Amino acid sequence: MLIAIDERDPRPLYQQIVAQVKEQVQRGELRAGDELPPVRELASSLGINLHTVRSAYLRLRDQGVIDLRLGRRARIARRQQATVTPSEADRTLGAQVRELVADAFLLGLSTDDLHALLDLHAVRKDTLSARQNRNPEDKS
Amino acid sequence: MKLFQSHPLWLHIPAVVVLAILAGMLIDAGPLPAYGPVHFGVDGRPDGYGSPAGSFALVIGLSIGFIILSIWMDESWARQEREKRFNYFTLLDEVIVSVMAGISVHHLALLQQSDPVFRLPATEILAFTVPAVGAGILLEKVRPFAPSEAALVTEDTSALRRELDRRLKSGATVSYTDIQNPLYMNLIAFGVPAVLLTFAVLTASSQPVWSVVLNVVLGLLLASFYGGIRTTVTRELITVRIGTPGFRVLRLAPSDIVEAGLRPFLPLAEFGGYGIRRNRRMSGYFLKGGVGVEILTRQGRRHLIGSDRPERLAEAVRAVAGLAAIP
Repeated sequence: MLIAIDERDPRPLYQQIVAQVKEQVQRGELRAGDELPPVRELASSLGINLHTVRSAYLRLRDQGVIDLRLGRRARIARRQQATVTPSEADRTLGAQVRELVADAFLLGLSTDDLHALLDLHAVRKDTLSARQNRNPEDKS
Repeated sequence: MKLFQSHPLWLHIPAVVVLAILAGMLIDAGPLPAYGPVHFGVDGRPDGYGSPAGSFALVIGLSIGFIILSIWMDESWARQEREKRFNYFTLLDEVIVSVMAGISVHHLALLQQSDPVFRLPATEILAFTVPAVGAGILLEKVRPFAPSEAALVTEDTSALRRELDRRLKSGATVSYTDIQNPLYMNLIAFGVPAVLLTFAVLTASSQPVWSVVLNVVLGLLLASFYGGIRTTVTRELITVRIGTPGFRVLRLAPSDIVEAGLRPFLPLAEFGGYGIRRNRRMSGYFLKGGVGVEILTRQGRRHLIGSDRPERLAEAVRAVAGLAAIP
């Protein structure tokens, strides 16, 4: 698992960790069952407070990205099949999308530019499936 | 995946036959006394009494355990084999089961005596060991061989390398962690300490204090290995840690690394097993697998770090060491 802390990134440190773990899950680099490093060791290697890493892990647990149980190692959780309705999706992601649209507007991006940006960063399901087919020992 | 891919179970027949002979002799001996000597001191005189049947049951249980261990080790060997080599580990169950059988036969004879004195039963041990080991060597020689198909590179790491280079160039703090924590390690870290600690508690009143303390310390030490091996790669340091407390077993400065790359290896044949190992050429840190990352330092030392995803670990090490991406 690769985690990088960038001081020029305006986001809080814990949010940088949360975002990078989620991105690696999205790209298929972290798979269900993969272990995350212990809080103390990740904090030490990044030179940050262990409570920051703990906050990130707790946030990831609350979002269902990782399994975090007392006395057990943090692991990437098995992903649920998408059964979210549009209204549930709006409830979960609506605020972030609205902020993203507003940020794009303030940067002078058009709707097409924003769509192109989303396409650039999105990993389509068929790409993920192809990657998993190449790794038959994949635990997920 | 098949449970037994390359390793025929008939390799273990000699050990099973020895165990069957011992069981037959115990049955043939008739009812055992309910109470008798079960432990002997350095002078050969009994210093512990109890149920001989329990003592023989322990021997049979341990023998079965060693046969299972030998099956697992032989299968591991066979799966790693790329050319046929004599597997000395295949004799593990023959040797141990035969020695325990020889001692048990002597113990059985002592139960008939009014003033028993234990001596090393060399004749009994050899009577079991020589034919069993001989048969074991013969079977190992004739066993079939199928070369394992180990692919060296299976994962595209170009995206990881680009990300690492971008982050390192931007001055960000980077931490790449690789964890090897197989199921068997967790079973050892939980199961063996549980047995040792239970034994220490149950026998606390009858065993000397040092024996109880030894069991407790050994149990806690093994339990501390829970968590497996973790390799952390940062801009300043590459560290390998083991267990929950994170005992640091290797520490390397990236600036000292002159080469790092993938290397297929045979854990049993080259290092004699798994864990923290050393052979004439290098030190090894691995709990499973047959492909690791070999690192050569300026001081001429070689280290082999095991990984479930060695391509990614190799790329991370090469990135922080300033070496070009793996072609």
